[in-house]
Amino acid sequence: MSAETPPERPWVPALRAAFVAVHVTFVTLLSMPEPEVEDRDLQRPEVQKWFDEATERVHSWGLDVTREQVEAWSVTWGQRYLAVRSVVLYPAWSYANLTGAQQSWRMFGDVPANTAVFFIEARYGKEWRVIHQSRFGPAVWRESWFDQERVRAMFNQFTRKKSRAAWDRIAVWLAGELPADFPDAESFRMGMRSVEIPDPATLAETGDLKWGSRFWVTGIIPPTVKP
Amino acid sequence: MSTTRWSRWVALWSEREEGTPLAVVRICAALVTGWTCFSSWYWDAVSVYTMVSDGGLAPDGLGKIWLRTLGGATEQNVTLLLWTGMALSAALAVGVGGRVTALLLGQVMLTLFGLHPGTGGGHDRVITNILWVLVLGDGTRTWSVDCKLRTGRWEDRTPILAMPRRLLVWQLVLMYTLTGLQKQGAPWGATADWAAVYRTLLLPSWVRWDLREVLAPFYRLTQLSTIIAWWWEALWFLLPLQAWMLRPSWAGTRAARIAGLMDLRPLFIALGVITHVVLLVLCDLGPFSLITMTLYAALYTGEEWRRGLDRWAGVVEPDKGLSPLGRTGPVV
Repeated sequence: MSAETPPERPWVPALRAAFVAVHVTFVTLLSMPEPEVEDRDLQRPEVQKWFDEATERVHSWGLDVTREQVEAWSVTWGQRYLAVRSVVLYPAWSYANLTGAQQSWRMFGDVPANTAVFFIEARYGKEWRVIHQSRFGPAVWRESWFDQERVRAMFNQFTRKKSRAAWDRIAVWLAGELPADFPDAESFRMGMRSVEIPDPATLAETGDLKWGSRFWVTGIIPPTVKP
Repeated sequence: MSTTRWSRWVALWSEREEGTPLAVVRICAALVTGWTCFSSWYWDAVSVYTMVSDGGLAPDGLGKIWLRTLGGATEQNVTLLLWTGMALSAALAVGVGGRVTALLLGQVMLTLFGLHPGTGGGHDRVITNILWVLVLGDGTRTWSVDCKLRTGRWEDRTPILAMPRRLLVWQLVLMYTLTGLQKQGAPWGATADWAAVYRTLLLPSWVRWDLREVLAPFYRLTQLSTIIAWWWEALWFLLPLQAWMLRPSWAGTRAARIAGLMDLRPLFIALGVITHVVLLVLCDLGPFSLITMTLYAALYTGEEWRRGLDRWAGVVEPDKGLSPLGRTGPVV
């Protein structure tokens, strides 16, 4: 069954077209890449690696430039671009935050061979036992919770040593959760363990990733346990 | 913009078509949002959204102003938000409340996603973008309870604006193209031996299965997948370009003849379905694959959907020998 479309007021099509022009412009501009050129970003290993690779690429084009020149040029123009972007996009951000038209599409831009997994250990006397390791570990406490997509995303940021504040909040939260499930444990600690994805020949030989050192090892002090 | 161009622009966004694709997007998106809220509640991820001062993991002081006036992201409020999200998702799926339902659900999801930065992903933005476009368009014109109440039938072929469907197509093209172009890391190229897909399938953060002992023999396949995935994503801009060149204003030109050689949509959709199904099976990236594939429904016009459904139901219309992008014109 179909009915006739009711006629529109004369100004409606023009207003709609103007709105679409604004919407399309905003979402298109918002989706443009946002380079990481702040000092703290530049210190990150993957950004430094990007400069190495970019220099190699420029050399492959036959241009004789140094790595320092590539970095200086990238940072200068990146910062100028970001300055213009922040001014131009100010109204777009308000629109996007209000309506949900947010854009950011840097997904799997790099897939580093070096990553990390989260672990929790409980101390029984002098022995520390692993009670949780996210993926490929001997024990997984509350597996379904750690497997939930938003929990995975939360822990994924720590593989790049990002968001120390969120890390500290997790330590506090776990302090309230762990004692009930491990009443005999004397204390707890959590951290990240580095892991490297090997080349396929090594993987075929060992059947395992390359496990490395730990970082961000943090004591978890339950409210009822005295340090 | 000259008067003629402006008139053409106004005319373009005033075009109408059957509302089937928007209804399909509405139903699928509602199922995904419903699942997103349900899984957070069922697997006890309420704590992820709940603020620290109420025993949760999220930073204090975040969230929309209306939530903060109601006490902020307390466990009770977060649980209420998730249940509201599930109820509104159900209403949107069956098509009750028209644009208002989409607006309310969009605000609920936007609020939830904003409570704990760093716990979401691209799928959050795809969800909220779709819901906003469902506010702009008449998504319940057909295949909805609203339609049943209005017309006495579940289906209404009265044309609606093609604008929302075209905005969804533009969103899809932006998402894929910009994602592809930003895949500049070494493993997407020869310098790291096209290892991106291989590494992704071993990344502890996202893997669904332990593939350590089985993946190595398939390395060549993962390399090929890396190359195809990069080009497939980066070339999505070709779809609106092809559609544009098939518009009447290009008729008779060489560009129109080239554009008319082959409809690119089935190829891009086939590669997309393979990519997303593989990702869905082997990795846990939340609802990313499902919500992205939801947008594929918008790649075909209402009339193309009608023709396909009629053919499926055995009501075959004679071939009218029209362009590969359908009788009523291109996708954008």
